[in-house]
Amino acid sequence: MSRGQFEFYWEEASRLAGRPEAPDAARVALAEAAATAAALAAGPHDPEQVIHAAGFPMLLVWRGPPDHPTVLMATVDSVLRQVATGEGVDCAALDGDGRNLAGPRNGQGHPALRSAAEFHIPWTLAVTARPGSADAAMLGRERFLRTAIAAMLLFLLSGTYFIARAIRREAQVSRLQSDFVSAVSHEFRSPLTSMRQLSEILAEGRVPSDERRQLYYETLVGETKRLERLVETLLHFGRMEAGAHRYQFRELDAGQLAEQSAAAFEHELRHVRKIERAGESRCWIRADADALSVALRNLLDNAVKYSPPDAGVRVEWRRAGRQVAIQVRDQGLGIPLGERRPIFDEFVRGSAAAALNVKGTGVGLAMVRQIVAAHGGEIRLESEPGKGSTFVILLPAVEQI
Amino acid sequence: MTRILIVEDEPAIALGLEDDLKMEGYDVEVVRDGRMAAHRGREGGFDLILLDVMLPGQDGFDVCRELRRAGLRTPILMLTAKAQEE
Repeated sequence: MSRGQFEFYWEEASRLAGRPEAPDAARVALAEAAATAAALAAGPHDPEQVIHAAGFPMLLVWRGPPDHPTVLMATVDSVLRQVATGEGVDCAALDGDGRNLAGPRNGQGHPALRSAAEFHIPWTLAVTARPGSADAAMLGRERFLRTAIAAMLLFLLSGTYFIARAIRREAQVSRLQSDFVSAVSHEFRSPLTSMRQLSEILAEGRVPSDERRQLYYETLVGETKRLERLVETLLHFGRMEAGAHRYQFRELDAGQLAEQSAAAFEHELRHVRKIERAGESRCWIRADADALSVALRNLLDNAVKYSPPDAGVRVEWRRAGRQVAIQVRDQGLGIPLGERRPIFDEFVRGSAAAALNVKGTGVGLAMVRQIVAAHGGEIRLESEPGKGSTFVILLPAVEQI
Repeated sequence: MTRILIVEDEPAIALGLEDDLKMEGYDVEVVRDGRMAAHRGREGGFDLILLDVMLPGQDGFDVCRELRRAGLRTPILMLTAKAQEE
């Protein structure tokens, strides 16, 4: 609305206000004006519409685009006041008793009432949102709010879930670590106990016979080696975990390495169990012989620990396309499906370990996994509970000239 | 002569225990696992049983329960290198 227009209306309103009293006809005119205003608000109208009620000191101004009008009202003592804004607004004039004088007033929703007292006019202006002509902007905002609330709830829920999961994991890790400490201390105590006992008997000269004495020495050597191996294993594991292990790769025959590992392990077991061996010749790989021997030893150790004393343990090697496969097969307890992935994690031991008091620390397979990964290879596990397990190490084959 | 049954799966520990007690003048027998322990223990004739807790398969507690359930009154001493309480 231009300034000129406004001033014209303003003057008109002031002039009308100066009249001694408002006749009933003017009341009707006012109501009609309000109705027109409402109709204009509802239907298509010019960007600016001004209604002025003859005989009363007021102005109703509609302006803005049709779908989003702003309703303004002016009286003598208040210049322009905004009454309502938004699309689909109904405007009705009510008398002092709340009766509808003019304009549509829908029954739904609470109208925003501009009272007579507030505006010094003899009627009340009721502004309500029209039903049906659903306020698209409002709906949009509502939809946005709902989406936002849903997103926040989702965020909150997922946050709760992740926190709970982190706590559970933390608890699991601390349980695993305390299991590990307990297992390691037991692994240390057993050889230490026997070494102390046997050396004490030797020192006190209470050995029953020369034959026994020889057995004592052999046992002491064996237990010392066992302790040494335990310390080596833990140090090796620690270095690998820290990523500090230096691998020294060279080309070698996987079969030869497997043979040597099997023989060394049989010796470690004092030949109470036999490791069957079979494989192809010329399985060349690039490997760190010491590290890969440790991996094989760990697999053989597991195969023996988790199978009956009379069950066979087999180490096999072969070319498999562009890879060389070295596998350790046992006829032991087997590994349940749910444990086949986690058992490669550090400190994790299968359920059979606790159930059958199998000795160990829970780092063997984690080491195997690390060593195989360092060789650019992969480890596979095939197992059937009750029938046995096969661990397959796959390493890239090397063409030897 | 007082008879002692040693139940110990670690040969190195069993060796020292066996000789130590033998040198003290006891009659000692060693078994390696829980199954054998339950079997030998029930056959009786022992005055004391030294029972390792960490046995493969059936553990020391299981063996002890089994022997007591079978009505055996022989004193049982439990041995363990375990660091933590169950």
